[in-house]
Amino acid sequence: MILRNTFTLSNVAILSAIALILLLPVLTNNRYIIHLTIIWLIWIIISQGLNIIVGYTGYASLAQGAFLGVGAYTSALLTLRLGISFWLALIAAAVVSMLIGAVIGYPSLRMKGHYFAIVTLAFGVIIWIILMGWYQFTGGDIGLSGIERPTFFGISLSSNTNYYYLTAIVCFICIAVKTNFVNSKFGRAFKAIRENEPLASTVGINLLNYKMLSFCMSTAFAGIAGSLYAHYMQFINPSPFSIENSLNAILAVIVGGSGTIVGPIIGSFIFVYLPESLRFIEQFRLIIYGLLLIVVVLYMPKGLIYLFQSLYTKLFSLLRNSKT
Amino acid sequence: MGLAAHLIKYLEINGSQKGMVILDAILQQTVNGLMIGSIYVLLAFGLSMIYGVLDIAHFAHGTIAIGGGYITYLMLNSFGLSFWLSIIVAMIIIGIIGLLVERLAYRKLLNAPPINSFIVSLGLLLVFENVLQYLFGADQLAIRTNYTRVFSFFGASVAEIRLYVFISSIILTIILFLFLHKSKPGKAIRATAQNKDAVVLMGVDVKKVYSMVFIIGSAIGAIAGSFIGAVFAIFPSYGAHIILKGFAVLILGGLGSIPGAVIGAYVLGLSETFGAGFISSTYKEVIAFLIMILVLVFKPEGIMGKGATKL
Amino acid sequence: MKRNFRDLALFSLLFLLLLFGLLGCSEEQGAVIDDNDVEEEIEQVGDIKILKVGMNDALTGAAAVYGLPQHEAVQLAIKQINEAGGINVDGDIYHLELIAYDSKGDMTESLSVAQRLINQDGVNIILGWATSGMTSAVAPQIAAAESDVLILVGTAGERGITAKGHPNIFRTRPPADFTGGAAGDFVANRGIEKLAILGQLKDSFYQQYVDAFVEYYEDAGGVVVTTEIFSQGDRDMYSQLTSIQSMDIDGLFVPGYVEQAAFVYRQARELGIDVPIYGFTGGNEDQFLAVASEEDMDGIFDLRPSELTVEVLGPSAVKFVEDYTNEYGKAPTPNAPFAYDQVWVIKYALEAAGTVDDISKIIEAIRELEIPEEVVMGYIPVNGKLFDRSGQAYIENIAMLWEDGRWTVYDLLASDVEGYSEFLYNLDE
Repeated sequence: MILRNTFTLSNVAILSAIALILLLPVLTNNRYIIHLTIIWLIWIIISQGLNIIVGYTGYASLAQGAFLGVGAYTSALLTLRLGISFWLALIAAAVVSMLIGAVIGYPSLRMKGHYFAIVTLAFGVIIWIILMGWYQFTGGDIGLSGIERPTFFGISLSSNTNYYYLTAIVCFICIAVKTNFVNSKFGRAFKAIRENEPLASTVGINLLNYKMLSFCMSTAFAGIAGSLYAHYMQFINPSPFSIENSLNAILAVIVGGSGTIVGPIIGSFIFVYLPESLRFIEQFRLIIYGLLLIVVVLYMPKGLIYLFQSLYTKLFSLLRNSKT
Repeated sequence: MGLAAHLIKYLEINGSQKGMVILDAILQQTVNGLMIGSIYVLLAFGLSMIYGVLDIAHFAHGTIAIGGGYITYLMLNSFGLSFWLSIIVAMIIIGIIGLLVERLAYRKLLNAPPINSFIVSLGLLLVFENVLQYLFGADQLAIRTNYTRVFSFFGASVAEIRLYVFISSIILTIILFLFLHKSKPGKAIRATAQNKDAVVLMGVDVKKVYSMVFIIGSAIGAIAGSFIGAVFAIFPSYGAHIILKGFAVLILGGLGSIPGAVIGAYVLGLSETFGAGFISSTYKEVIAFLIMILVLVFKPEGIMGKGATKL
Repeated sequence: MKRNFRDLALFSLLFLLLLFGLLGCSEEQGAVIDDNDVEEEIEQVGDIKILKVGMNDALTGAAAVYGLPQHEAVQLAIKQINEAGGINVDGDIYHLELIAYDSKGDMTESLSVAQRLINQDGVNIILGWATSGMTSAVAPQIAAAESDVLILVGTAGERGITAKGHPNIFRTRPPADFTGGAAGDFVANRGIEKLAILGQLKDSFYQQYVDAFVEYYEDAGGVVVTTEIFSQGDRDMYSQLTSIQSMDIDGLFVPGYVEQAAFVYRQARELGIDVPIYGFTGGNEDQFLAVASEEDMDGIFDLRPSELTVEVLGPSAVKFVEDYTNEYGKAPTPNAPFAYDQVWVIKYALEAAGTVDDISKIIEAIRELEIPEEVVMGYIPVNGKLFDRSGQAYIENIAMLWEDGRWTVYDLLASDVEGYSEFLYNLDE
């Protein structure tokens, strides 16, 4: 009985969440809210991707921001220089990020812990410096402008509202793909690697292959997000793809709760909205942001999701008690 | 410009003098590299000790060190202390800040996954950087000393302040080495780095060791920050910039090894100057990271090899 | 699986509720109003209307060295205009009220700021814009999407900002290459034949300046022997300078921010480089002397827009320096008036247009605007107007020479304003 209830509850909740997200432009015509939500949705894709390698496989990559750049530049250059359609460019962004991820992952994934973190950080910085230094190709600091918003079977997605729908749908697909992926045998292998690498190896898991798969998945997500970002901003230069956003992506995963589906959603939300809502204390907002990070990690080391989860369990048991 | 093209240019332009000019340039670049290396050494000491003993990648170290530079600046300009006395005041204050950081932030994370201490260090970086900006503004400040002479030896120019930085860094290296190997607290630090459990059994208070490491590491960082301010300039975001170099040094020398850090620092300093001078200044910043990757991929234990013990 | 979905769904719900809650709250809180005194004053007077103007600029982070002075200059201008009786728009008296948000110089944040100003605070005029990166990213996008928003760009010097044909973008600072070409001519005419360039060439602004510089310099017969680069974080130029020293040159050209350029000058002298040095930095005496000594600086040229060079400017510049120093206890930076002047442009444009809402009329008024008396910079009129067809204003370029411990005006650089304006208008970017 309870099971059936939760099941319907779950259905209702999923439907209302999707409906709410899809209805947001109808509920408000405030483009500021739409803008922030687009940024949030893009960050969800970035952090969901990063979560595959960080949360499920236990390897902290500090190159996610750079792969965001790889995706953004792939997509922007293909559409600008070769006139390829956005949809192909979006896929190409994922594929190119994945390939570069493979090239970088192959040597890096043989290292563990801080070593892996630092080597990915180094690769991330190198990608950034190449974006900056190879200006004949990337436009350097001047950047690439005139990146166009796509059309979908004749419907222009150039308005923020239409682009919002595109981002929301891609984001849903990414979350669904990731959810299925981490619950498949691959996901179980990742978790085995995270928990105990030697043991995973003895039960016949090919460590390097699975780690490569996990890392490439995460970079592909970054590539997709990068493409969405480039066509949303309509201008890119290397600055958003520096180490800062690699770190922000890690923060989003950890603060939200690594190794979960919902954690990165929460983390991205905090990352996008918290600094915005702290604007009224302008001068101190980064100080407060930093302090909050420290407090979360010190007192809620598993991420904010566990705070919400325990609240939710309490609420749920309260509901159940009131019913009986 | 590629190396070959560069050399051809020398030949074209300098004709018969070419050999001399290249030799001069090589000597000058060597001096330049050693000077930069000696600043990296001072920065890497704290980083290396903290990593060696506590297994923490202390990303806020650079910013805290730069804070030391600000204190020196303040002492020098507002309180009229001498340059060296100002540095000592900065060491004391930054040492205390290091202690607070360890006590209030990192101590709670001793048994948590490494990624947590990593995030906390990023949070600290944000906090310190913005506090510095709030207190001192975003403009760069240069610590002005009276050491403005320029010496010349074998045709290479050496600015006086850089020479003092180089000498100080060598002296500090020797002092630190003696401290770690000859003194009782120093031995406790090394022992803790090598085997925590055994040290606990021997009755050493590990937590005291942790605090000590943070105090000493941060105080040496304050020296680095003050020298950076005196040779170059300090500004709040410089800490985040320089810390990446610090980690490159650590990787080069093997994480947590002090002799490794010293050698790594000079190797990085020389590679950067030679790379920028003879290959291309466009990719000067890449050099540190490229070396880092090459070392990690081909010799992950650092250039000192497996023989390098911790600290 | 099921549990995952249930969690996911419930949290999404929870967050959407939170989202609305949060945004609801922030709407009520409103923004920081920079001039509280004004607000109180108005409540007393009663018949004065308030016009909110927005500011999108880097108030923290590395770019704050340009953004903060602009912020202060704008506050000063608003204070002066309000105290002098406000703006008379078709019989109604308006006082300006500034809503400033920090973009950190970051393009995503800057877009958030612009969206917030427009949609949350109901602002239709946005000033500030000190850095090229965020401005190139955000100003054209907003200009295209929001035709009823007016954008006044300040210190950001990247050429493309006014080359894209958006009627609602105006810029007080001339593009980098407007100065670069004139500077290249100047150096060649000084008899420098073999030049080494050491500059911040990864930065779009300097890149464009140097491209124009090299074109004019080589056309006039000079040869660029070598080009070396330094980056934002570089303070050690020894390796680049050593490499330059080993070449046969008779001049060194240093285009870059003053923070780094000051070190190039000091270290070049430390290394014994004794060729004439030309620069493009725009730094003032304090900024250079914080790093380099007077002897290091002696004989160095700075080839730049005249900016806040009081010697070649009118009485308004003297007054501005005085007022700014009284207000903030420090001298204004050379770029600060670019933003200060924006406010005066708004005042006169609103008065001429007779409206505060109809942006197309205000744009028309700005196009017709002659150079107001209160503006600080030494604008060169284009066809008698402050802004040209592209919405671009021009100021004199000058050669400054460091002599006796300070910058002195050496000469005005010959600049072809009409020609450049034509070139910019026809540029297809």
